[in-house]
Amino acid sequence: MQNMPNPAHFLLLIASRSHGCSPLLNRQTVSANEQERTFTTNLSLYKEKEGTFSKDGVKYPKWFTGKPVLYIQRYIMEIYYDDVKSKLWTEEEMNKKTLLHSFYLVDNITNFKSLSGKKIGNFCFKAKGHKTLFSSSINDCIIAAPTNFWPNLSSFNSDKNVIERIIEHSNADLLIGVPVLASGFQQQTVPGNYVKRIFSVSVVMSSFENRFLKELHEYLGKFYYRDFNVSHNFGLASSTHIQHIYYSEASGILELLPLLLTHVIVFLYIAFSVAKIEMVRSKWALAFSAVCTIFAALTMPLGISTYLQLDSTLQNREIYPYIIIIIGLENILIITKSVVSTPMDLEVRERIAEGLSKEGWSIWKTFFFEVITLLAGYFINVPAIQEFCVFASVAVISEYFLQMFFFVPVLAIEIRRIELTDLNKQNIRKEDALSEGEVEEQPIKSIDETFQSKGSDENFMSPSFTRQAKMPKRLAFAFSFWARTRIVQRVLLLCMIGYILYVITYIVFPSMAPNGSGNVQRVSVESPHFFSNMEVESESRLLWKIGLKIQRSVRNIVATESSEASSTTSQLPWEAWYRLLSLNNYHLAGMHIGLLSPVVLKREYSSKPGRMSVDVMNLTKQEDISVISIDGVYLVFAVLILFIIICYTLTVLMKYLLPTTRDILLWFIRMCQPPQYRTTIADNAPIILRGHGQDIECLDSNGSTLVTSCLEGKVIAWNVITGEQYCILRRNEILPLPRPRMDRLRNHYDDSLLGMPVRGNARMYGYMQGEIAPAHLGMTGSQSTYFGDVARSPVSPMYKTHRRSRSDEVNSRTIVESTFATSMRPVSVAQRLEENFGKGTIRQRRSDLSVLPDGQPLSSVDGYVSSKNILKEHESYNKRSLAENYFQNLYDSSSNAAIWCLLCHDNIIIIGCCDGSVEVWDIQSNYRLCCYRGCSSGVTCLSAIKNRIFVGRSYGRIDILQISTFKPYGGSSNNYGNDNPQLPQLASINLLCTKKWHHETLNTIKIAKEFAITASQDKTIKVMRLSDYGCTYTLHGHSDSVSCLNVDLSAGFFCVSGSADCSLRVWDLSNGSCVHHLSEEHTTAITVLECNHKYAVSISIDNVLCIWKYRAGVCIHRIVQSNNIIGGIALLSSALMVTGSQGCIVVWNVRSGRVMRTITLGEYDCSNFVSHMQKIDNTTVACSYGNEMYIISFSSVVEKKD
Amino acid sequence: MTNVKSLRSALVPWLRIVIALFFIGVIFALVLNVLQVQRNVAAFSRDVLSGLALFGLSMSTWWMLPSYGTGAVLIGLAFPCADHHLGESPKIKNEWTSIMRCTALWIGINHAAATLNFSTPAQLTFWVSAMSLCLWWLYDRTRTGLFLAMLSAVVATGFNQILVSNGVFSYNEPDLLSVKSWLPSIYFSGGLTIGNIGRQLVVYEDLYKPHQD
Repeated sequence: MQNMPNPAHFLLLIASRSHGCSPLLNRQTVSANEQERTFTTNLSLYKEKEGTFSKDGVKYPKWFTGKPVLYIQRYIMEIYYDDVKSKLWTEEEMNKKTLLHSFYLVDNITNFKSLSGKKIGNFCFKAKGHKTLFSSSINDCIIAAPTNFWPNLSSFNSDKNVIERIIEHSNADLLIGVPVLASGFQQQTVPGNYVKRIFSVSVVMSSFENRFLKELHEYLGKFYYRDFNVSHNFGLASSTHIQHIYYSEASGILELLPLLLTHVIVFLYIAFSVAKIEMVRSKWALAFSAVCTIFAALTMPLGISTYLQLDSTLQNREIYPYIIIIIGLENILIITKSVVSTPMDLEVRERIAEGLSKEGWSIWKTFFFEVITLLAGYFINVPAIQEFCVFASVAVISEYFLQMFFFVPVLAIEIRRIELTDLNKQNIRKEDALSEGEVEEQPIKSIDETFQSKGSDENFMSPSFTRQAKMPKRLAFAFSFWARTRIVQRVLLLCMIGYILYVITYIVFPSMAPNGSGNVQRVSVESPHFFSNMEVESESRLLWKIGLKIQRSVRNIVATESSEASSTTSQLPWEAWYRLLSLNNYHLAGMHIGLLSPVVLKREYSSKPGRMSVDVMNLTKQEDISVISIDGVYLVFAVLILFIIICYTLTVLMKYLLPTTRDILLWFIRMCQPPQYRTTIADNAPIILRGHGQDIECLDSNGSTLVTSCLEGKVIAWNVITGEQYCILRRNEILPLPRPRMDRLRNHYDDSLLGMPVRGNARMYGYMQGEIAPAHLGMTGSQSTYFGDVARSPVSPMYKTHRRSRSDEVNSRTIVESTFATSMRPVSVAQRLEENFGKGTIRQRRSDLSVLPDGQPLSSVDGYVSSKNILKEHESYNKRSLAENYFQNLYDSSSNAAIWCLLCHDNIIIIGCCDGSVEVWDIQSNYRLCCYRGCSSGVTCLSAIKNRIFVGRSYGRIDILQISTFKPYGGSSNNYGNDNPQLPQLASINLLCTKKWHHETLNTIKIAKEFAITASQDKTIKVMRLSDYGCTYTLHGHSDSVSCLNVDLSAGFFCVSGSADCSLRVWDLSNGSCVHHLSEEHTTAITVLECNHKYAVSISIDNVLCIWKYRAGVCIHRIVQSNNIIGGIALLSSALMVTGSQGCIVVWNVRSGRVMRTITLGEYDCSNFVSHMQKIDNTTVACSYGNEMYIISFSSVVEKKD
Repeated sequence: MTNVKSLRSALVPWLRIVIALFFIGVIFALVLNVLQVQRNVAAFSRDVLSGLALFGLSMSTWWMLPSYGTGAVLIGLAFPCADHHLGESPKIKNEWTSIMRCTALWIGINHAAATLNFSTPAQLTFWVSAMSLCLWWLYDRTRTGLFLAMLSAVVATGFNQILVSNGVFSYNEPDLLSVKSWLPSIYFSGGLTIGNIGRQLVVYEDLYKPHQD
């Protein structure tokens, strides 16, 4: 599946390529660069005799041969209607009047006869072949004029819809002679304003007759000029400059080769890039958005320059491949890859933020350098490069913008969509429903303020907790400012509303909306007339310095003559002449033409002569300022400002760049999400549980019941909600048993067993044990994680033989064989069974092998006996009837061994003792259901699933026990729940499997999915299959004892382990690899580790508390507690954490790493330490405090956040 | 037999690389020539008889193309070999995408140098050399690369100089000892590009595998 090409990839490839190729496809046959193409000479260089331009003293382009093939003279006609007239006449009438002038003008030109008797027909360029639209009807001259729309004057007069005819024509701009937009024919006019219409008549001449043209212009001036009240003779002065336009030859494959190669390389580049998308499980939306990003990044600069009315002089087909190369596809790929590779269980925004923060810095760096390089290139004083640099930097900036604000949101939506379909995710959410949303911090309040040992709140807070991972101030400000006030969001919203309103008004009332471009264009035509030439020039120089080589401004420089400058907007693009001539079957490729300065003719329809020019001047002056400001400079400013903003943010947040990008994203994504809820913690009085005489040693809870044990071996079960005692396990007492049957059985046992030489041994062992007891007690008084030391100590062999502490006190009548080594018993019982019942064949060999000479049980000689043998022994043990086992257990009341671990599983309590026995008690009936003594080595950890108990022992062995329950006087039942709680439930325990699992003490067992994960002092973690108890993985990596382990099943199969080698490791149990090795923060052995689906909290011996985002492998907070020793941790939800301390417990916000509240414990005595902490459910925690227990619930109030 | 086979299996990938580099060199030479012809920079004696004339080469200078190809092979193999012996691995993780970008930018530089109007040759030279260094910084950043590219620039310019002095071809507007002053920079960046392609080809063919972590 993975190798299957995704159709989305093809889409991306094809779309980007087709776009990249489109300039190539739209290639026109004419091509040359702007600089190459045009060249202006002074007319004084023209030698009339040879008809060429002299080449002296001027640097000519290579194509310049001195003699243009033809000359073009344009006559631009401007016709004004003042306010009165425009009110008087309809638009149609004005258009008709305007166009009528074109007929007059053409007529005047063609019929003019000079003093020497020549007519225009003598010089004009004749169309070859058939008559075309453009050739004048009189003498085949090529004259492009609006008259050509109609065959003759009469058809024009009868034409009812002039404008439509013009607009629908494919070569309208050629015939009108100015760009249609600039001509004013299409514009809506407001009655009562000045109205202007422009058209031009272009005459193509084969030779340049200066004298004739001078005469012609003077003649024309008679008709059109006298209306004006302007004294100086602009416009009709004979041309002093001539502009040469060169049309280069299309040189076929030769010229295309580099371009072709570039496109091939771009194609390869995109192909290689897209090939890398493989690991992304992209959907169509993703591919589409990627295409959109690239496409928009390429078209945005065009749009911006068009908006700013800058015509690009560069040819897009030449620069687009390079711009694609410069923009690159990498960022999109990198972002997608890093976001997709984040852990799946996190919230979408967190995933995006994490993915971006991973790559944020490198993306920023690349972006920064790209823009810097491009702006540096801008200072090379070559207009083409400058323009390219500006264009490319706009493209790069807009691409960055699009990536952040278009592609990433689409990615977020996409991931969100994938996630919603994931049912797995929902389960986690349900579990965590309460903790959803931010936990608001509240002022610190303590419940028992009166009994606070330390003075004031601050005093209590600050000195004891030094936070190291602080949020930078600037960042905190920005974050809180942005996140709290949502100012950017609101401003954006307002802008959006404003924009929409603007668009609506524009659509509904088009006349009211400011028609920017039309006005500017229309008026800018006028500008040179009223500004002195000097001004125009200086303005142009400014633009030149700025270096934006805009076509228009370049022309301004060239056009020092006023009439030339006046035609800037009314000028046709250079290709127009090529088109005009090719329509007349003449191809200009490889030739250059001479474009004479156009002649501007004006005509005014005014009711008050003389007034208009002043008005026009005023109008022009006002508008002209805007023309200057809009031109060229604007784009540079825009780019500069954008870049300055970026640089500013970069420098200010240089250090905190990673979180910055993330925060922006967080903010952005939060915008799209439903309103947040905040949770506040309500005060709640703790429930105090008293009953233990000594310090509480072990505790466990199953949600409704809390089981605690103290140093003296007393086990109490409590109701979590009410705090009352369910029961105190009578571990020292003889159980009152149902009389009749029990007596009979007991007698039977006594009779059969008393003859055996067991007693003496028992005494001996009991004695030995008595000596060791104090040491042992000391051991168990310490942390339970030091089992290994106990096991390694020299007393351990004897210690293993310890059976119970007060054997003498036990009624000898009830002792059967309990004092003997445990593995003795199955054999003896089996023998006895054989004797008594005469069934089954007991192999004699076993009894020989079962006991070693020194009295050590065979099974406890670790590693030397295969587990098979032991299993056989246990099988024989199991062979006895269940009832037999049951009564055996009841009598075997040696339950005073120190408790090493405790497990509350359903309704039963499982106790692991230091002597290796495992007791199973029923909470409701307070009876011991059964007891397993198959091994004498201490139980260091317990875990249970259904009716299977996993027992980890101090020498690395693991036993899997099975409990079968049945009712004493009825049929067997698999449920622990009993109909009649008064009746003791019966249970038998048998060994399913035993394994030498680790080389050293097991520290913890966790059961998850179909696996049991064990951590041991032998530096390894092992994963056992529950199906066949085989080893799936052995995880090596820690260099010291693995002290704690936590499994996270929320997404994937991860586990976090803490070790004495001061490091944490995150393992992916689906493939057995170590995902992260977190060794930076802790310097001493890690003792406690808790984790939920998002955070892991670890504590080392030196009281350093670290909060990790373990999926990402980052420490988000490192908290050093100088005075207070942290006892235990409970992670209540994704955001709440409770730690124990001296005389109090502390509630933390995990995300911020801040103390939310300190709750003082102990009414009179605050010197005790909270040593154990047990999470009961998501809101309740139990902690031990000396010999008392506290149950504290943090009931939360959920309210909608503003 | 086994020796022959192992020899063959060892040689075949190298052969592939050599052929690929040769053709890349030829194509680059064509592009370079086309761009120069377009600008009328180099004036070959125009005995326009063969199809090669299209690319600005005449029959008498046909050997230019193979020599460019050979040069490309030499440079393209020199880079990975030097890396191998000096133990310096490219700091930038090269992939085909970045090679493509590098190549495209090299053609871009050529294109710009050939078609744009710089006010002075010095400006053009400065710009081209700056761009070449940028190219090195962006896509190579190794001392080996810098040294070898410089070496290739010097050698190729010298070769060019010899050709010009022997009258094989001449430049229209020479500004530095009868050649163009930007020529070394173009050769520098060209050598860099070819070298990186060579590197990538070697990585692609999985040679020197034991040295790659």
